Amino acid sequence: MVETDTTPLWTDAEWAAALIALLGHSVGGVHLRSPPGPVRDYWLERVRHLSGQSHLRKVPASIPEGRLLGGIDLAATLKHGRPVAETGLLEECDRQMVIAAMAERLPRNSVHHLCTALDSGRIAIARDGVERACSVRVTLIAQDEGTEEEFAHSALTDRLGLALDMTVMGIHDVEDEIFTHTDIKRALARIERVVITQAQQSALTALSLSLGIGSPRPTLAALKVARGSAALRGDDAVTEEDIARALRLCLLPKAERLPDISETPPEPESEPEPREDSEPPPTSEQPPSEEDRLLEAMMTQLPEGLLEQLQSRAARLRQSTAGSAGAQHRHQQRGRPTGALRGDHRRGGRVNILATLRAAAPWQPIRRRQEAPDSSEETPRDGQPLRKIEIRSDDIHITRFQQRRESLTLFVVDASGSAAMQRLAEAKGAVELLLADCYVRRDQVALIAFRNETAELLLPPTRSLVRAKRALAALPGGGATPMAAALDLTRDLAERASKQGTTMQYVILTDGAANVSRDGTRNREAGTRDALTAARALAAGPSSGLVIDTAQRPQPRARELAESLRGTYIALPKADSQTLNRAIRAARS
Amino acid sequence: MNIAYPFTAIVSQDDMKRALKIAAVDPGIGGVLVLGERGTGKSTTIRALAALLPKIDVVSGCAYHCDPHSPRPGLCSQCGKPGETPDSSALTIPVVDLPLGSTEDRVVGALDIERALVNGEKAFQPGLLAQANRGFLYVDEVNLLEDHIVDALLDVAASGENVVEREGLSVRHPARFVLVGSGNPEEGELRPQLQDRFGLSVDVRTPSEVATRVEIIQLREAFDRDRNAFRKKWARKEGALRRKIQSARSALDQVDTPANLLETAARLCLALGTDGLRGELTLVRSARALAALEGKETATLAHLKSIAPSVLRHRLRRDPLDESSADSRVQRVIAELFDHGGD
Repeated sequence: MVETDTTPLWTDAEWAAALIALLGHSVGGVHLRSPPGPVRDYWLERVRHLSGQSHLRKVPASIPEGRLLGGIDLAATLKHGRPVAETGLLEECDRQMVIAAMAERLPRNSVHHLCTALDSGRIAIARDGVERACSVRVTLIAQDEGTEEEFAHSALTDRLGLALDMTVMGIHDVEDEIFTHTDIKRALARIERVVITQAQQSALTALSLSLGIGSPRPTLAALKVARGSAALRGDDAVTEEDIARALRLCLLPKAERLPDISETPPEPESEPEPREDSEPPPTSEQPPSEEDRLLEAMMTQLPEGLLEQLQSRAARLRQSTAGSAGAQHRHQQRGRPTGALRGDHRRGGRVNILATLRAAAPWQPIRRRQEAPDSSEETPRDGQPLRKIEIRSDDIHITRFQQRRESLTLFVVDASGSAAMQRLAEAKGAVELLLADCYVRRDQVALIAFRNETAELLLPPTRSLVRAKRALAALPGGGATPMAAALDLTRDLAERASKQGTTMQYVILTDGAANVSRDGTRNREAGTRDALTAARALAAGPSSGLVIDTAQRPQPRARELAESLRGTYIALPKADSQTLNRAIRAARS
Repeated sequence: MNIAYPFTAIVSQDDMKRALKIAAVDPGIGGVLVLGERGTGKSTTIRALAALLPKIDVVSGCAYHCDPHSPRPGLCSQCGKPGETPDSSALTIPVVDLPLGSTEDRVVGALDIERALVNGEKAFQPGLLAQANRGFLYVDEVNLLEDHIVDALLDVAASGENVVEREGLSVRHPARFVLVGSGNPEEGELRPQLQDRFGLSVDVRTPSEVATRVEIIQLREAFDRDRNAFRKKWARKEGALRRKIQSARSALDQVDTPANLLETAARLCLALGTDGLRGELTLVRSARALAALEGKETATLAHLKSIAPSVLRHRLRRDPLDESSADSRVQRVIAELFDHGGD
């Protein structure tokens, strides 16, 4: 091992490579947030070299479940005349390091299977006539190329002990190597001896709590990383340096809030600059306990580390304004297969080979006899590989896909003073009832509230009722009615939805009393005029909607709005949420 | 070969542990739904339960684990044939995993392709539901289960019987299992029909006290270092709990349920406006199982009160104007009914 004064960015990356090569499956893997490029390639090459693997297998995000888990091997099945299972990619990679490419795009089911593999080192398979459990002790490097709010799924990142953010690293940051494969082997022999004290364990645990990390997994990983770090240094005891490293590589990337620090952190610098490797500051005084002292030492480290985090996060945000080029890909789903149906493949559709074989299988002996009635060697049990499978057009099964066009219901709730006071609670109730309805139909829901100067997207499109409920509960009332702003925002959302191939429907709950114009000034006339302009622009779009008049007495204002929107108008004075719900359902169908 | 973390070494999460123990004592309660954020030990706890389950008598060689002592109608077609009593053997209550991505043929069972291909026989290959008969069926991330699998589950869970009509097969076999599901509610909700099938539901959170966290971390770390030694260390506690569950199972029928307890359960459900009788029934059965677990001869009001949130939480009608959690609503009604001179 060679000590060099490299930049901390690369030092951490190099340490992470060594640690994952050393610890492997026991810490799950690395969450590698990085755009594709030479730095990432170089780092992956370092990992491959240090782990001594000949190459790193890759799991593409689009991998079908059957390939990931394994299923039936059709070629072998036909050859041998009995079902032969095919090994899935995960099983092939047992005890190896695997790269999950574009982890932010992994379908939820693949995420689940990877999580199971990381948790228990085993997966159970029950598909396509194959049923077994197999060992899949993989170490996963999840390449997360997400921009904006796209991240690898939190269930997955929670299980990946190490995290590395290379978004701010350029090729000039890459420095000399620190470790060799021999260092790893030496550390492997040492790691069992490395001692981590109770106080150090408690300090790391307490710290992860104060960083708002709910799950215990990152802390467990941090303990292993601290021990691994000591082993790599050639030490038998974990020191503050190791703890600090575990903190930077395991805990800080998962921090959800800043811990309470009594002294104010230093002023943040505008640009991330290479800094000296942060040595734990020597503490001269003797605080009461080892644990407290450690905690304090770590706390003094925090502002620097967090600063780095915040800076890279800011950089990430800056980069992300370029736009979401990938948004379309996600919705190019052809629907999911929902079983097979007997059918004619000439009319289109994908032949489901397994179902076809299954249909043909029981008839084989009879068909063979029909086909070659005099052939004497046609004994059903001889197991000759030459035996053919007789398939009739009647056997052919077509995979049935269910192409569900995603649909989104957007609630636009007037929370202004005029509407809010009596009706906001009603509106909330109606939205909740509708949410349950949307859930049954697997719709996504979103929520916009408008009051005072602006309209706000309180809840971006989601399927989670829990989140919708929470957003709704937090909705305050009172103030002016910026109708135009609300309609503009609705139009934005409608456009975004249609780009993604989602059908959007909106439900506006208002009394129609617009009194804030587009430029944000309070003026009833301009407000109404702008609202109607915005409504017509919205009506030109692909989405449809309805307006629910929540005024005490039905007003022409809301009706006029509905007409401009070319939407349905429902006046519901004195309606309770149940009636409202019924009305909306009736209007929709 | 895969060593599970011991159930008794799981720190806190008492609600979840109690619900699972109750389900192990009385399989008729209808299963347990565990909801919580990541890292709360949902799967760990459920998998740990498997090691605690006692043995049951099954008909030797029966794919559905039929009970040799039970009356004929509830058995599979093979064991249900009149004739001499079949051989029986002991089997640890099975815990069967229903992994996401399972296909319907493996869940409900399908034509045995091997026998069909090799012998041209039309034979039924039992699926996961058959294996889970008289045991547990565990679905991790149950809220992500595909709709057609959920439909199959719902039907079987309601009738206790799996009917397969496919590929020219016509098979029916018993499939009574304790459905255990876990999931993160942030990722989408459960279909109401499926939610309703669960007898008990628990909400798990990560403990936020430092001392508890340190204990969790240290135990887990010790387990990861040497799983065998760790299990050995906890073997005595595990054995004690296993015996406790076993004796509670056999004592269950003797536990006395006073008439006023039934009435109380009915009043509680009425006050909370839960639909159907299932809530009341589960409430009484759970109180009884809890009493059996504690070695008591009578189920009391205290048992009922302590288990009520788990039984009723997921059965409440959504009240859009009430922002309080389901738990606190149950607690509030209990307090109103019993503690303020309401009785």
